[in-house]
Amino acid sequence: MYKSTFMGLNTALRGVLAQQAAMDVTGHNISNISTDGYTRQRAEMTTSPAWSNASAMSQVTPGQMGTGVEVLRLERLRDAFIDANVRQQFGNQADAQTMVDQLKQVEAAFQEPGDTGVSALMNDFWSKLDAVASNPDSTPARQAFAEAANALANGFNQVASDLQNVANQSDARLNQTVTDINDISSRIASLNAEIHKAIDHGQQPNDLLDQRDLLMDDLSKLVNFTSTENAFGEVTITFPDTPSVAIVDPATTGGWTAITRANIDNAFTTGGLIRGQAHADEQLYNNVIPGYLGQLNTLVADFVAGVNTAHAAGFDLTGTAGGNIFDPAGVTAATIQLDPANNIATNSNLIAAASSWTMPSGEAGNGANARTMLDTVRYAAQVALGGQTWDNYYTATITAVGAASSTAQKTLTSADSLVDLATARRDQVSGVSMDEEMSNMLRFQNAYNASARVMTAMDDLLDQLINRTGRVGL
Amino acid sequence: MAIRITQNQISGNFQSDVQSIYSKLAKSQQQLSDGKRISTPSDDPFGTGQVLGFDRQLAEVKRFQANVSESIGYLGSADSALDSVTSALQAIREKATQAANGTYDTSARAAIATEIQQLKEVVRDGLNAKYGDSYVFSGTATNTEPFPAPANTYMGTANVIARRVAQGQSVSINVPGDAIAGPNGTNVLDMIDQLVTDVTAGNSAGITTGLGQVISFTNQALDVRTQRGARAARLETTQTRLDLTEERLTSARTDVADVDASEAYVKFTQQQSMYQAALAAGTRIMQTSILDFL
Repeated sequence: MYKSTFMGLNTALRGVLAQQAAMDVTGHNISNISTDGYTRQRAEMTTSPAWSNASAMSQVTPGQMGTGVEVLRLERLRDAFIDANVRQQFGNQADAQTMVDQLKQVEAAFQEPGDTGVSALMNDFWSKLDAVASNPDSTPARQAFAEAANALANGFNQVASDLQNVANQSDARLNQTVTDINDISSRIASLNAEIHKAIDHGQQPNDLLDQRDLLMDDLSKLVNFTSTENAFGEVTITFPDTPSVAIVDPATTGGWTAITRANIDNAFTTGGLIRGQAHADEQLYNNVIPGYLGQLNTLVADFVAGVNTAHAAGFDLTGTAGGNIFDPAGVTAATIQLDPANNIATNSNLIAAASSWTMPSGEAGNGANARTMLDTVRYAAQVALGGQTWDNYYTATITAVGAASSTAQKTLTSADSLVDLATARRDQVSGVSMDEEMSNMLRFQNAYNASARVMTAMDDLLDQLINRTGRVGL
Repeated sequence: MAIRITQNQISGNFQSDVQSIYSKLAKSQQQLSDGKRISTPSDDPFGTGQVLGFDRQLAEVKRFQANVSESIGYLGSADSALDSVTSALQAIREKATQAANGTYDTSARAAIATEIQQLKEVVRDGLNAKYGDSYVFSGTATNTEPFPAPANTYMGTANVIARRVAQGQSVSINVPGDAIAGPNGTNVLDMIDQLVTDVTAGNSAGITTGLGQVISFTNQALDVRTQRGARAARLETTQTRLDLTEERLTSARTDVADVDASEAYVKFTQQQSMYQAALAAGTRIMQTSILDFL
C-alpha cells in the first residue's frame, strides 16, 4: 500500500492555508491596536493528523507520515486573574475619584480661607460687637453689628445649602448608577447568550468575549462584584447585597435581574459594597456630608443659645432687658436667622450692650454686657462642643474637611498608579504590539511563500510524472 | 519571557505621566500668579487652621488698635475740658481772694460775685463737655447732660466707660462727673453758689472756707487730669505693642498662607524642565517603530 500521489500537494496546501489564516489574525490584531478592550489573538497551529497505514498486511512504512499543519484554534491571550486585579483597581480608582471631586465641592462650600467664609463672617460679627461695646450710643455701630449678625446667619445658611447640594448630587448619581448597572447587566446577559450559541457551534467567540470583558470593566468602576464562568462561556455576576443578587445569571429567564436603589443602599449598610463610585457616593451621602452638616448644626445650636443667653443678660438702649439676637428656634446651619420677634436689624436699639440701666438718665454709654460677650462668652469652653470654643470648633471642622480632602487626593494618586500598573500588566499579556505583529507578518509571509514553493515543486514532480514518464519512443 | 511592552502601554504611560507633571505645573503656576500657598483647606489642612487662627487674632488686634486710638482722642478732649475747669477755678480763687480783702464795698463785691457767677458757668460747660455726641463726664449716661442748668444736680451715673485693649482686659477712659465735682448738694457748683452768696454778703469767714474748698476742688481736678494723662501715656505704649503684634501676626500668616516666591519659582522651573523632558522623550520614542526599518 502506498500513499497518494497527490498527498504532498495537500500538505503544501495546508501550509498555505494555515499561514494565510495566521496572516488574517495578524491583520485583525493590527487593525484593532487602538480598540478599547481588544485582546490580541493568535492562530494556534498544530500538525495535522499524521497518515499511517496500520494494517498488519501492509508493508511497514517508516513511522507516521506528516500531513502538514492546521490551525487548531484562534487563541485569545487573556488572564482572568489579571482581569480581577484590574477591576479591583478600577473600583478603587473610581471610588477615590468620586471622593476627591465631591470633597473639593465640600471645600468650595466652606469658602475657607477667605473673606466670605463663616470664619471671616464670625470675626466680623465679633469686631462689630466690639465697636458697639466701645460706642454703645452710636446708631451706625449698632446697625453695622446687626448687619454682621445677619451676614453670619446667611453665611451659615449658604454653607448648609451648598453642602446639601453636594449630598444631593451623590444621591442623584446613585439613582443614575442603578440605571447604569441594570443596563450593563442586560447587555452582558445578551452577550452571554450569543457566546453560548457560538461555543455550541464549536466556535471561539473572541470578539464577543472582549466586549463582555469591557462591560465588566465598566461595571467594576460602579460597584464591586464577583463573577464566575461556566462551561458554556457564560458568566454569572453577583452583586454583594445581603442576600446577594445574581444580577447576571444565565439560569434565569432573560439572563439578568434588575437591582433597585434599595439594593445598593442595603449593600452599603451591610458592608458588602466596598468599592466603586457607588460606594463613594453612599459614603458621601450617608456619612461624610451629614457629618459635616451635623458638626455645623451642633455649633449653630450652641452658638445661638449661648449668644442669646449672654445678650439677654444685658439691657437695650431703651432700658429693657435684652431679647434674642438669633431666632431661638433656628438651631441648624440651614435655619439660623435673626429673631423676627426681636429684630435688631430693623431696630438696632434692641441690641443689649449695657450691663445695667440706672434711672433716670439711663446708660446709653454702657457697653459692659457686650464686653462680657467678647471677653468671656466668646472664649468660653462649650460643653456641647467637647470643651472647645466656638471659634476653635469651627476651625477644627475646617481642618477635618481639609484633611479628608487631602487624604482622598493622596488615595487617588496611589489608586491611579495602581490602575496604571494593573492595566500595564494586562497590556503585557493582551495588548497588541506593532513590532511583534510586523515581525510575525514577515514570518507568516515567508512561510506562505515557502509553502507555495513546495506546491510548485510538487507540481513540477507531477508534471515530470504525468507528461514525461512513459513516453519513451514517442 | 521578557516583559512585553506595547505601543499602547507607552502612549498610555506617556499620557498619564505628562498629565501628572502638567497638573503639578498648573498648581505651581496658580501659586505663583495669586501668591497663595493655601487656597483650599486640602492644600495644607493644619496650615489652614493656623491661618484661620491668625485671621481671628488680626481681626481682634485691629479692634484693639481702633479702641486705643479712639480712647487717646477721648482722653485728650476730657483733658482740655478739665483744663478749662481748673483755669476757671483758678480765676474764681483769685476773685474770692480779692473779695476776702475786706476793702471792697458792696457794689464792688457784687461785681466780683457776678464774675464768679459767670465763671461757674465756665466750670459747668467744662463738666458738660462732649466727645462726638457723647457727654464725657456723665458716666455711662452718655446721652444725658451731666450738670444741666440751672440746677447743680449731677444727672449721670457712677459707672465708667471702658474699652477693650486686649482679650479680657479693658481700660476705663472716663471719670463720672460726681467724682470730679463732688456729691450732689455739696459739689463744686453748689460750693460756687455758696461763695457767690458769701461774697455778696461780705461774709469773710464764709469766703475763707469757700477758698479752701476751691483749692481742694482744683487739686481734685488736677489729680484727675494727672491720672488721665498717665492713662493716655499707657495707652500709647499699648498702641505700640498692638502695632508690633499686628506686624508679627501678619508676617506669621504670610509664612503659612503665602508662597515663598523664589522657592516657588525654582520649583516651577524644575517642573517645567521635567515636562519638557517627558514630552521630548515621549514623542521621540512613540514615533519610532519597526515600520521605519522594514
